[in-house]
Amino acid sequence: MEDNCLRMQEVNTIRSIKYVGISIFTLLTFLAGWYFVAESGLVSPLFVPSPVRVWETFLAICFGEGYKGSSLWVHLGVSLYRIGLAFVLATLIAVPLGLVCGYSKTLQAMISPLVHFYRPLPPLAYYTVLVIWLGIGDASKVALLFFAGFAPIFISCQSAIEEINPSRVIVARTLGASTRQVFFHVIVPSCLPQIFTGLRTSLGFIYTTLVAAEMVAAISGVGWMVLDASKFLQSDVMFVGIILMGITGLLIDAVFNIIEKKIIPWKGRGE
Amino acid sequence: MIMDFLHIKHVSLTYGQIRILDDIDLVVSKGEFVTIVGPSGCGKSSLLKMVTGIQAPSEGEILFQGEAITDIDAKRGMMLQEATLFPWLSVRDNISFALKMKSVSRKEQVRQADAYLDLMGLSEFADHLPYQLSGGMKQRTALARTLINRPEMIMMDEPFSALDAFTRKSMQKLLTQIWKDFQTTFLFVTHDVEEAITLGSRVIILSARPGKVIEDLSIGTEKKEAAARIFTLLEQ
Repeated sequence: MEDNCLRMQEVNTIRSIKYVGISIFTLLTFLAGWYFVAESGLVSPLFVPSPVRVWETFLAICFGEGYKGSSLWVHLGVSLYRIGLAFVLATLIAVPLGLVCGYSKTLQAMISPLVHFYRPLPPLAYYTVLVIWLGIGDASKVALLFFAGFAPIFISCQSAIEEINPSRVIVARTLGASTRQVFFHVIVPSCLPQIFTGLRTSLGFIYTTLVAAEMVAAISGVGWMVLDASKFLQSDVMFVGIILMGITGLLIDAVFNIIEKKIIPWKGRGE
Repeated sequence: MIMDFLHIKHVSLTYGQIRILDDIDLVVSKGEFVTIVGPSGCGKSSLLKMVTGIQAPSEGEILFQGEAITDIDAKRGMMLQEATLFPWLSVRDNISFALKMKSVSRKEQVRQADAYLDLMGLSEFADHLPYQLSGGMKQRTALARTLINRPEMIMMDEPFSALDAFTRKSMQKLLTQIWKDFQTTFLFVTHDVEEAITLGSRVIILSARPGKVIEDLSIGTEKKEAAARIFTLLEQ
């Protein structure tokens, strides 16, 4: 049987190599198409700068004079700092609050309506208010990202509690667990998979809100860089910024994936 | 007067208009292996829930060692159709869960859990997570997790019904051996007559809804062996 398992694993590896190959092929075709369209002169470089040009710009912003006085890493660093701070704050507040609201119907009745009211609002709609309250510095930006990230974590924690298999709690109690022990040794770990899903969605929301957050009175950040470059029709810079944001997003997701596999390897595999 | 181990005293259960159980009156002595068998929907699981303490009877009461059952108690362990293991804990840590709740030292937890792993033939899988186990191994883990707490009585709600016939047979054998070795009292619910006879030292047959006791049979070892032989012959 073990032999079979190994063989299955091998087959799976071969398969996944095949699919990775297909993905790489798509990517290369895309790059070749882009190169062809840009170099042939069919489209003005104003709309589609050549990949070579974008690469040169990337190197220049990265290791050369940077963009508007700061290197790319500074822009990226500033953006990641804002994202990170907002995400940590949202996690620290939304996780316990969501769990408690899943537990207590009273608290849920108090807090849920507020969350459900603001959640569907487009972040830019209340950003203006946040700027009036908190000024044009980092505070209003982090606050906006915080709100973007808060709701998904809160909601997933709350529903995680509601969806716990009651038998699990009963079994724990027949094994002598007190109410407190049930909470920390059964409820919290039971909720981890859903909490993680919430955290991941939250990070996605925060990330997409970033550009909006950096639209108002910023002088740094990757989102700001793209918007600023658009004012001067520097499409190569815009492309660098957009591609970089895409890659950063993928990396963040990949890191999340690794952490998730480490902490909750049982996720999605039943009991 | 000698105190009864478990006394189900004229218990009835009604959900809205539906009468589930009707005047169940049973006395279970320490060390018995009582199997409760009946058609599905006869309320046998509800009866077990009431003995567990998660469901109150509509009429009557249940006394355990002379005291009315009002809540879950660690003296009464349980096992369900689903193993309901904790998916984040290794097999070993699942087994030692009750010890951890009692703040037993980690070293002692491991020592005891390893003894049960050995008993269940799961030593190789000590560090596996539940999702990596087969159905039978999951139930053996659940059984060890219940036994380690040394409950005075173990309630089982069709714990083997989701297993294949072969695994079910070996689990039944294991359980019989454990009953002999541990001398724990068992209350075992099943809809499988053969299983009820194979395992029980006493078989209680419930009627269809509303569930009533229609037979209460003690089965001696000899009769049991005869029955087992008959079942084996029938299979061939």
